[in-house]
Formats: sequence, structure tokens, C-alpha cells
Amino acid sequence: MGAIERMYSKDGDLRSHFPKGTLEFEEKVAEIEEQFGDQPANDWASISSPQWNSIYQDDIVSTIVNRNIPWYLRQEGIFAAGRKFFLRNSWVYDKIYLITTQEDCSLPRPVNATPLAIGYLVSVYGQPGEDDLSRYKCLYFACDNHSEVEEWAGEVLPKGGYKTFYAATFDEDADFTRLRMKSYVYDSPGIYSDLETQIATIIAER
Amino acid sequence: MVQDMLKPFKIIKIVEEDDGVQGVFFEVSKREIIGSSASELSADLTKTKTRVTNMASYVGVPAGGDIDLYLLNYLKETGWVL
Repeated sequence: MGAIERMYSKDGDLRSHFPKGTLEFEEKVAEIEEQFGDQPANDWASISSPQWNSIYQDDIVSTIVNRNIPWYLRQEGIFAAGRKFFLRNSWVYDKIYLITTQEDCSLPRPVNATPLAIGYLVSVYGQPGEDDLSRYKCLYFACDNHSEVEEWAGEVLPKGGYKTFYAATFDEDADFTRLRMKSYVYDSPGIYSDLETQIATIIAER
Repeated sequence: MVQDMLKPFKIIKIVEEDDGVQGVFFEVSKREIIGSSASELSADLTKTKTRVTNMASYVGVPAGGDIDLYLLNYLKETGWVL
């Protein structure tokens, strides 16, 4: 099995996510544990290839936990969590993803976008990296009109054969300046490709 | 700016023992997925089954020691925190 998600951002190379149970997953976990020590990889649904991020000036490897979120990250509206490994700075931050809706989301987005989640980094005691990075908020959204998103973003964005989601990163301390645009591309159904349905289910069961 | 860090444990109470040891009562939790292989897991996240284990315990931290650091290392050594 290959990548289950490809993420593009114009400041970095392609980032691919590999699901648990694949050789790529095992190899990348081994690389991370060699640099950062033992990790709770059994809880990770996937791990990514490194990608340069111009905001943090680092190559970052991402993991996603969406079934077994650590208790200390749990809060109202949490949908998923992840661990981010900053390869150059040797930092480790956790990222939490909170469900958002059209009614409660105040972050900028295309007119016809459906906001899904807001993600930001949190510093966890015992993990290297003490700076407060929570000012950077990522809004994940869906939009049926790809051209509208491209126009709003001011750049050409890749599109998946099956589905595409988008995210924009804003600086909360700089009047919500948009710093980075991301496209999440899926050519076939997978564990992340129907995010909007999963979130709608959770909202309906609240 | 340094962020208020989340801690993977909760300190309930600290008492000073007669010998100067700092007695720390704490709680920690561990949640494990039941059925961990990809084929056992439903694509529907809401159907994931987990088993939660909670521990409330006590540890004695040497006088003058860093309580958070001591407790973190203790929980790492015992597999409660990764």
C-alpha cells in the first residue's frame, strides 16, 4: 500500500502519509525513534515523510492519532491529535484538531467553504520545544469549488481524483495573516479521505 | 514566549514527610485500542473500542528534587508515559 494522503504546500516538497501496518510506516517510525527516542507509535494511524515548513523553518514529520487521543490532550470538540517532529531543531510538539462549524468559525476562508477543524500546536511537558507556537492556527476546510479556493489562495492548488481538502495557516498575533496554504489530495477512499463525513457524524451524535 | 505546558500526569497533593521527602499523590491514565491491526479497525472512528486504565498512586521525591521531572521519569520508566 502506498501513501494514503498527499499534502502540497508551495514552500515545501510533497508530504505523503503512510498508514500503520505498512513497511513505510515502520521505516519512518524507526527513523523518528532513532532521533527522538521511544514513541507511542502503536497509537498512530499514520506517519508522514518530512516536509519543509517556512513558518517554523524546519523539516517536520507528522503523525496522526484519531482513535486513541492521549487523555491530557482531550478537550471539548477534539477530533484528532498528532505529534510533530521538528527534525532540525529536534523539537516535539503535539497538535490538536478541534471540530469547527460554519457558525462558530471566525477564521477567514472562501465564501463557499465548509470549515471542518482548527488545529494548533501544544507544548507537552517532557518533550523538547518550549516556545509557544499556539498562535499559528490551521483551518481545515472543504469546498466543492476548487477554482474558488485557488482564487482565494492566489495560487494554483493540486486536486485529488477522489477528493481534496484544504487548510490555511494563520498568525493569530498578526491580525490573522494567512501564512501558508495546504492541499490534501486523495485519489481513492481511505481513512482520511472522508473527513467531512466523519466530523458530521460526531457533530450529529453530540 | 514559553507556553503553559500540558502535563501527561495530574498531581493531586504534595505533602512533606518527616524526613524531608516530598510525598506526591498523582493520577495518570492510559488508553489502549482494542484490536490494533488495520484490518480490525473500522474506518468509522466513532466505532473504535478502547480500554482505559487509570492509576492513582504516590511517589516519594527526594528533598529538593524537581517533582515534575522526577514524576515524569518515573512514569516513563514504568511505561505510563511515552
